[in-house]
Amino acid sequence: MPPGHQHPDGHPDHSDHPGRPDHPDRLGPEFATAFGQALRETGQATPTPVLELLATGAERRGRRRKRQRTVLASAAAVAVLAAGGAFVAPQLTGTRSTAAPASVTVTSAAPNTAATPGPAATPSTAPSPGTATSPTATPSTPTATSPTATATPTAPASAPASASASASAPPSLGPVDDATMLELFRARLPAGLQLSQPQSQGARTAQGTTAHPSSVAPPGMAMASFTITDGQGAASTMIQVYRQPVSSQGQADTSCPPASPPQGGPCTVRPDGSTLLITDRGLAPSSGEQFQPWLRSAKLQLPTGLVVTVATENAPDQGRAPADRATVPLTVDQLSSIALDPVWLAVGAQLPPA
Amino acid sequence: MDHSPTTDPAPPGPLDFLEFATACGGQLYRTAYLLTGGDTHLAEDLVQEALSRMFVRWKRLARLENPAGYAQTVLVNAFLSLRRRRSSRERVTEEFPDLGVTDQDPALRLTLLRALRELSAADRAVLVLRFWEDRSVEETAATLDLTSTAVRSRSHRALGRMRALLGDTFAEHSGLG
Repeated sequence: MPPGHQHPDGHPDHSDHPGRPDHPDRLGPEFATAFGQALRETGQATPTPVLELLATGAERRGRRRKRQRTVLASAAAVAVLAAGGAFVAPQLTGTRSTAAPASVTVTSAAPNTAATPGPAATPSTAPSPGTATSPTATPSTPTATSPTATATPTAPASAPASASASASAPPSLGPVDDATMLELFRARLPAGLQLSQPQSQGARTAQGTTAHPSSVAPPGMAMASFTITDGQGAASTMIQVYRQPVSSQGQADTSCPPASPPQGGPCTVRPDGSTLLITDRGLAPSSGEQFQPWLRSAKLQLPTGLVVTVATENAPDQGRAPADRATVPLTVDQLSSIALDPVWLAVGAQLPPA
Repeated sequence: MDHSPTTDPAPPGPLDFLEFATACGGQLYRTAYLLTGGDTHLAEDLVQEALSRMFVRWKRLARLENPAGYAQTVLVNAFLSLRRRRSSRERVTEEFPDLGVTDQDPALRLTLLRALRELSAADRAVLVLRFWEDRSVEETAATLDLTSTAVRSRSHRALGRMRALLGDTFAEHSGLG
């Protein structure tokens, strides 16, 4: 066992050792044993770089990471879902981006409007990744009557104060544990989706030093995710709620990225200074992958530092598995509606400061 | 100088980041080396990426019972995340990596690394965690956010692929076929 590795219970689990003849990876125990031995010999024979330089380089990169305010970078998922990257999707109407979408979906533009799960995502009308479509309605438009960043055009009834939701009056919630976080997200997803493989980390779990190798999210982040099955294949969706650092004036950087690709993307600057950033782009497929991987997300950045990212991919396992279908199951409107729900303010209020 | 053992040693202070990074960097690098199929540059980049992510939260992570184990998990997640983003930093190369001076069987090692590169990132991660990190099915599942069944399935499939790619080589070197 390599140094540093420790079984959670402190006792090595030899019953499931891959090198043992009775291990479950039966493809010929001799081959498994030989493979394991060859892998270990290869790893152990590998010369390492100068470790002091490696360590100082990591520290330097970490300091730069702090300076750049790319928060919570200890999770690969953040890099995938929150950082985004190239944005090639059509524009979402907003103060920064007013171009009409390249094509129009026929899916209902009406986002979630009920306390219980909203309208079903109609698989047959979901935008095709290949055509990179966008809903005709902008989620920010209805907020003209709701001057705050967190007012959603379709605030769920489960949030009593939603009709006049503001940053100063988030809906009250009890302690948000893992199960509560999962249920809050589930309740805001469209109806008609088969949800499986639930994972979550509540705001309470995100507190303190509860980070563990088996944690589904880094400390300081509340998250929930599901694998979605709706008859067209498996996909996934996830929400992340976390805080980014604020300046000495208590303001976080919520500026939209440069408008020109690849950094730019549909970005709506909202009246209160928050931004809603849409990512809707394809990823290069792996060899043998039948469908093009597709990432679609809505990221709300509040001046208070709170960040809410809702994303969907056309692959299960939070996009780690190969793409399993042609389209993603949720529209930009649906993702935006969820991200703008004021309930996440209450969740964020229970997170530790960045 | 008094070398007598102290009966009431002071509790250890917070683990210094550089000390930690230096201590576990070698193991992390070897894991990254296998994950990347022998890409030394990408392996070094991955280790620095994983450690830098921990640096941002070091005040908290330093108090973990097993920060080195956590670092391995961050490393694997960084690798999978990188694969998903198809970062331009990722190099697709058929070049053989540099050989280590301690290599006893360079041909087998090179063949093994090349075979690993034929696997998907997730399958490679499963094999590295199971056979190099020596993690149980359940631990591997927790690290990769998979079910135990999925880990077993992936492991079985990946081993089958490895056998197809390495069978002859292993037969030559170890009498297996």
